[in-house]
Amino acid sequence: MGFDAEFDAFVSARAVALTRYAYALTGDRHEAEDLVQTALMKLYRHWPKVVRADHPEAYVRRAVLNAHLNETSKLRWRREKPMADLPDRPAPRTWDDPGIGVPETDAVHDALRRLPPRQRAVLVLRHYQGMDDAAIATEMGCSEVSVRAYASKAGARMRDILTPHGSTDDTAGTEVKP
Amino acid sequence: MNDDDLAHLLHAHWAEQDDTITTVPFTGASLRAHVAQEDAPTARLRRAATPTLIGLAAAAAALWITTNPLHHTHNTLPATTPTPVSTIPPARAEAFLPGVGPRVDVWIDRDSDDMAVVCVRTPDSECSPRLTGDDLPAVIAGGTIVSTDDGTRTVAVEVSVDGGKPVKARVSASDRGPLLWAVPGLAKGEQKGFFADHDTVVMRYDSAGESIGEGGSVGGPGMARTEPPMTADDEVDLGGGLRAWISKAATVCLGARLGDDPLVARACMTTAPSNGSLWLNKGAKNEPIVLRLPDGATGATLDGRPMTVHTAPNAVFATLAGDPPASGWEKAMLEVEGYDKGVQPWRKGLLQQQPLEMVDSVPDWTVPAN
Repeated sequence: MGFDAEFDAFVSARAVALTRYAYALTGDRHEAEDLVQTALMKLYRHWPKVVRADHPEAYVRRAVLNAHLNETSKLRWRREKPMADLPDRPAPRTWDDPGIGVPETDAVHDALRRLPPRQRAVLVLRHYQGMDDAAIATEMGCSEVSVRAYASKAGARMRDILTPHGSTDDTAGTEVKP
Repeated sequence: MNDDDLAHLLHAHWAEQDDTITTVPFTGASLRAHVAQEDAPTARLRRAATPTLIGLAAAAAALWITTNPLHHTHNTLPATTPTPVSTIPPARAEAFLPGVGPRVDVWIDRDSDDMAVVCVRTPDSECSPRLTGDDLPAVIAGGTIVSTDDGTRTVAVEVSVDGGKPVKARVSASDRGPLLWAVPGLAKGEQKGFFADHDTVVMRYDSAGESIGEGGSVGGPGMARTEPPMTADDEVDLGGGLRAWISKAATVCLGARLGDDPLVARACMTTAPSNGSLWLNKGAKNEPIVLRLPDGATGATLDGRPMTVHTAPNAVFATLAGDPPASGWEKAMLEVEGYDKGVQPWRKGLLQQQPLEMVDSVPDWTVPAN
């Protein structure tokens, strides 16, 4: 099988999973597709070398993560909410509103998007990818202490956003200092 | 919520999210084709030529801005930073308007022939009066929320104009159209985009792809306002082949018409309560908006401007600029025309694709008449 055929087979087999991963990182479907396509193009350009030295999927995931972390700051002003349907109804109430007590996935989505990119990335790598702190540190190019700090801050922030005011749980996770 | 609860929530969220992605809009072959295209000598030349074209396009945009009858420049439109004149009492700063967010703009009809604007912001924020146009000499001395009712999407205000007799007014989504937050100011890097209130669509942009909000007025040549103000039954040409209209909710929609055909594509944005801003330009500045049109729509002209339509296996893509034909337009054409027919264009670099809904007929987008 030639390089092109190998690449095509890889894309066919893994593109959906990679896009799901990127979606978890970014919270934006189109941004996720962009990141994956860019990473796959990069992979294609280095396919022989990557296949010899690394696992292609690991290469792409790392490229997606790095691109996300590097580019998010440039795109942070994208705050509009594109909508496929006319929202001819009241906007979803926020967690600051009284009378809302059970988090839903929409709220989780919004909460994740409000996290800084590195904090969000740690949550994705830890809970979505199932990686341990050492692996996350390697993936992100930082120390394990930093990983724990990011995770702690992310968890605290998520709880703050998702927990209705006045009902904070005292059993929230232990604070870890970097 | 402890760590386990949070982990459970995240897993459930991502599992649900994963289910929404079962296909991707590219293949190995399309990616390889794009790599080949990018690496081709002509592509490199094209990229090298882009800056020059940007300059030419910017000049064209500036000319268009000054000559297009649909867009009049108003140098007295809202300043970048509203001037605070009063503080909303905290006790009355709890309004939350469904579909609008905690901050709204309220229009007050002071007389039949002029208007004033009161900016109602919460909580503990400042109320900023401002003029609505060159022909409105009145300055609102102060405004006070006299009542709020989030259930009816109504805000009542009492305003004293120029120290005169207070004028009471009550507006709501049902009798004046949706209340839509207008951008309070433009931050550096956010100088492009549109904003709207419930009967006016205002477009801000820079004429040369550079910041106009930084350290200066945004009421300069880069601002245009629909004239006359937009009504519920209107749709407004924003230039660049785009039209805007007000939906039932606090939403501005963009759409395109192919000649006399019905509305064929639309993209709607609602304000983000976090900042109340409404930005219809996607991506970095000068990036175009790409509308997905029904299959079979090929070759069209919108308001005399060419709209490039590209066919793909399952869709037709058209590139439209998110602005008047500024640099974004030219860039879009350069980028997109390089694609082979039959290869689904995907976003790369300058191209931005919005999730658009295809519709077979004009949707019910007007605000119900009173």
